[in-house]
Amino acid sequence: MPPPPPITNTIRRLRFDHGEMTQQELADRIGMTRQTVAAIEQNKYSPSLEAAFRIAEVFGVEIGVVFQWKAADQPGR
Amino acid sequence: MTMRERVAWISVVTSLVIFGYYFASVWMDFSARTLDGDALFWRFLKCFGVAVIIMLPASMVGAYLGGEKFDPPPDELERVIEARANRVGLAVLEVAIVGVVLLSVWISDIARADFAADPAGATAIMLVNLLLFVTASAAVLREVLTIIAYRRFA
Repeated sequence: MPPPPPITNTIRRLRFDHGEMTQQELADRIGMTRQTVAAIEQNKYSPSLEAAFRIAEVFGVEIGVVFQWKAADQPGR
Repeated sequence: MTMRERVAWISVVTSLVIFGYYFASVWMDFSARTLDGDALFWRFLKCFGVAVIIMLPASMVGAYLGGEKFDPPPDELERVIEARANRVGLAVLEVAIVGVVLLSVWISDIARADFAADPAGATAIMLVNLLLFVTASAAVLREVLTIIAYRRFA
């Protein structure tokens, strides 16, 4: 299994801040399955740029608030 | 479990049971040196029909129980999973077909030695069933890889 991408996200907290939004509700609003949202939230899958923007749009925040690049963790950087 | 993973499970189990039975019966006929092309053709059609009859309602029941659509459009992760599984399945199928072609020399030798009454017919029956076997195996492999990928991301 490949190592997880060097990206963290705050989807869990953002869902909590938005009235305990469920993964299914978020999935329905961005046109994905709940399983895909769970995989993104657990950092097992990096979404496409379009999906990332859709998630940020649902929470009404900039994309950088949802996803953070951990470049310093990458070897050789 | 998504609808697509559920369909993959149904497909794998049904294929292993139904086509497992079919190919086991072909192997037994081959071992007994009693290959009957007509009987095998109708047996295959029956197995294929039974597989469809099982898979369709099972998928519909799965969709109903899960409260999902029968054939929802895939999202991006599902497309990635399917593309990977299809790529591996296709590569395996290509290699297996080349293997069947290479085996054809050995198969025609067996046909000449053990099916002297109709070696050409026996060769055709064996080759067709080998091609069916590698195609079904590649399809099952593709579904198994799909399930593994879904489990990894779950």
